[in-house]
Amino acid sequence: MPIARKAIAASVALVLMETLADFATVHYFAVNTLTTAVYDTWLGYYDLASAAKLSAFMIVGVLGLIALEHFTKRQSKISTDVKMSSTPLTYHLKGKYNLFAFGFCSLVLVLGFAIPAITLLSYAVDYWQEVWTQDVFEYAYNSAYIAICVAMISLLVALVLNVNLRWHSDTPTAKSKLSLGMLPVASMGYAVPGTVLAIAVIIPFTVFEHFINERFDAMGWTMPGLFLTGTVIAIITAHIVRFVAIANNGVKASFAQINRHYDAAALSLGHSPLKQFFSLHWPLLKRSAFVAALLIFVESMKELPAALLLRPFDFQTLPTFVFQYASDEQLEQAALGAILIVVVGLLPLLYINRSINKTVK
Amino acid sequence: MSQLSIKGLDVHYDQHQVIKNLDLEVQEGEIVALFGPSGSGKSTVLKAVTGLLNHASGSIELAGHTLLSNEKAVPTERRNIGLIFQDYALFPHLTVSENICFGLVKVSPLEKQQTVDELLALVKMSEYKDAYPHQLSGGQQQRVAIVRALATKPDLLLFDEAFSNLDPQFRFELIEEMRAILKNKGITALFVTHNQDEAFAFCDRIAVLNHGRIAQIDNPERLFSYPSDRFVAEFLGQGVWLEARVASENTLSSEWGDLPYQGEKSIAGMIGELVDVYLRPHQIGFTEADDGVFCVEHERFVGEFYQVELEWRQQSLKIRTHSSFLNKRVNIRVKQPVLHVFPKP
Repeated sequence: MPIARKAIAASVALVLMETLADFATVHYFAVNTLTTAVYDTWLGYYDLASAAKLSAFMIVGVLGLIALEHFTKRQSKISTDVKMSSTPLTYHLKGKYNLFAFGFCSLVLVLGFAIPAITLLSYAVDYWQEVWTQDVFEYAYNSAYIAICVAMISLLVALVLNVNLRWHSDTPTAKSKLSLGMLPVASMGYAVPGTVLAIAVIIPFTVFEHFINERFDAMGWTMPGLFLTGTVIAIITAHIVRFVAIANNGVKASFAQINRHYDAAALSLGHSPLKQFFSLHWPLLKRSAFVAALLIFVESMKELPAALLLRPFDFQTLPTFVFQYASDEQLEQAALGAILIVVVGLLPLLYINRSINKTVK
Repeated sequence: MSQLSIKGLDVHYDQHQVIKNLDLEVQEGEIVALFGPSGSGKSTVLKAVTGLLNHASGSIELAGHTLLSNEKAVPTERRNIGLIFQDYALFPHLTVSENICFGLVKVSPLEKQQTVDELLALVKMSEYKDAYPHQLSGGQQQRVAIVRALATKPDLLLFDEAFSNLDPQFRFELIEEMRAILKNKGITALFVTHNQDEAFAFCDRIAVLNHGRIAQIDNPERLFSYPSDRFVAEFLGQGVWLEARVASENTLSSEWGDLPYQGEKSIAGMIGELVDVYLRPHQIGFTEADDGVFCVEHERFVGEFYQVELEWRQQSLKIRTHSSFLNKRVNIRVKQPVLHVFPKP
């Protein structure tokens, strides 16, 4: 227990972050939380300034959680280093304990997945004709389109950040310290709730749009209008900020596994750092980069609050479509969309599991 | 002609000066070791030569080209230096022949094929052309790493502790094989190591590094017989310090009796002075005597000899003998003439 304490603290911090960020569940059950407050203040009372203040308040909480997680992670790193050589002890439960443990774990699965899934399936089958329309395909297409963009751009950002870090990390210069600091900052978005992120995106984007429109107007050109907040660019941006951490972690872990001597050997064989990325690093890390991109795709397909707040007029993604029906207590009509989201999320996970098993073998 | 010339090399890490005004000349076709304890700066010199450090100052020239000066620092990829590491660093996603061709750009496929065939024949590994690194033994991987570095016809090969991962049994076999190849092709090499046996077996000259400076550079025999200072003497092998007085131009007197002196340097001008002599285990032996000063209480049979360890004036005296002296009283005798004396500090 004393050894596990730090790991438990880190997990608790993660769960807290996720719970803090959750929007749909608390909104559906009409529980007033900060996330729903941000949403209501903005869309209900049209008070963006107050919503921004609430968001700033939440960010402070998030920073506290990140610090907690970071701190416990560092601590546990030290403690695991000490007992690196010890093999994990497996403990076989017997009799009623075995039954209890199995029962408890199954309960989580049944309550958390099986019962909701079966309920949704039965709804979906009953209301098949009503919901299975061209619209669902369009929403699914919208979601997938956004998710693919988010996955690809996040991966690109993570690659640029990590390659930069790789090039500068063993030289103690101001530039290297900057690149070293950029990565954790870029990864912080994961802890920020979607509603807060939406505010963080909409305010600077609106300011920028106003600025550009004024300039265009002054020059006598046609004004471009809401080219950021009126398009999917705003949603994509918010999703990238939120999920780039996944790509970062994946790419960072793969880079860490690439022997530094490979780089030096490749350099000595005439491959410049850039050329080396394509000849050496990319072939070695493309697999985990693909897995990271898949994970982001899945997360982005599911992400609701940012899409809800930032979507252009009359634009639906699968989650916003499900949310709309669910808010109107039309759960039956929402079921099909929900199942689609789960299926889209499960397929890549199957692939990832298979590829992990392959690497283990 | 000097192939590698390092002049006034300085390297700082933060405030700490790791390399201090280091000069080193390596002749064409020569193999030189950078030999020293950990922290002596040998790997830093290697990094400075390869260009993997961007805060070195001084000048480095290789094959007539300036690699480092006040005005410029050529990047690693344009220095034409081959690098060989302790962990081989073969690219795991490429086959043996792809690894060898990695550095060959603007070369026709036919020429690549010829290079691969020729180099693999050189290390007797032609049948492993399509193997992946993980399918090879350590020694085989190191052979491939070496020919991969040779493929680009480098002006200099750098070995970073390159043999220390290998089994002792195969290590010296590989060292001899590699030395023959380098000598045959006339390739200049720098070998970083903390292992004296490897340095002696592989290199023509050895630069002993201490605290970022070259304490002495010489061939193995001279380094062993004529160490320039106390650090070099002690670093090249265990021994014992004995005080002696210069009695004549070819005799020293000590508490272990008179020692003949046959060194290069004349000690005629030092007669009457106290000096220190460093004696290694092979230079001292026993004579059995009932009134001997020492009693042998511990000895260890090593196989080819007995290793006796005695305490003498806070120094541990290790002596090899061919027969057992256990529980016998003995006197120490110096078996070989002294070649070098150290004036008292």
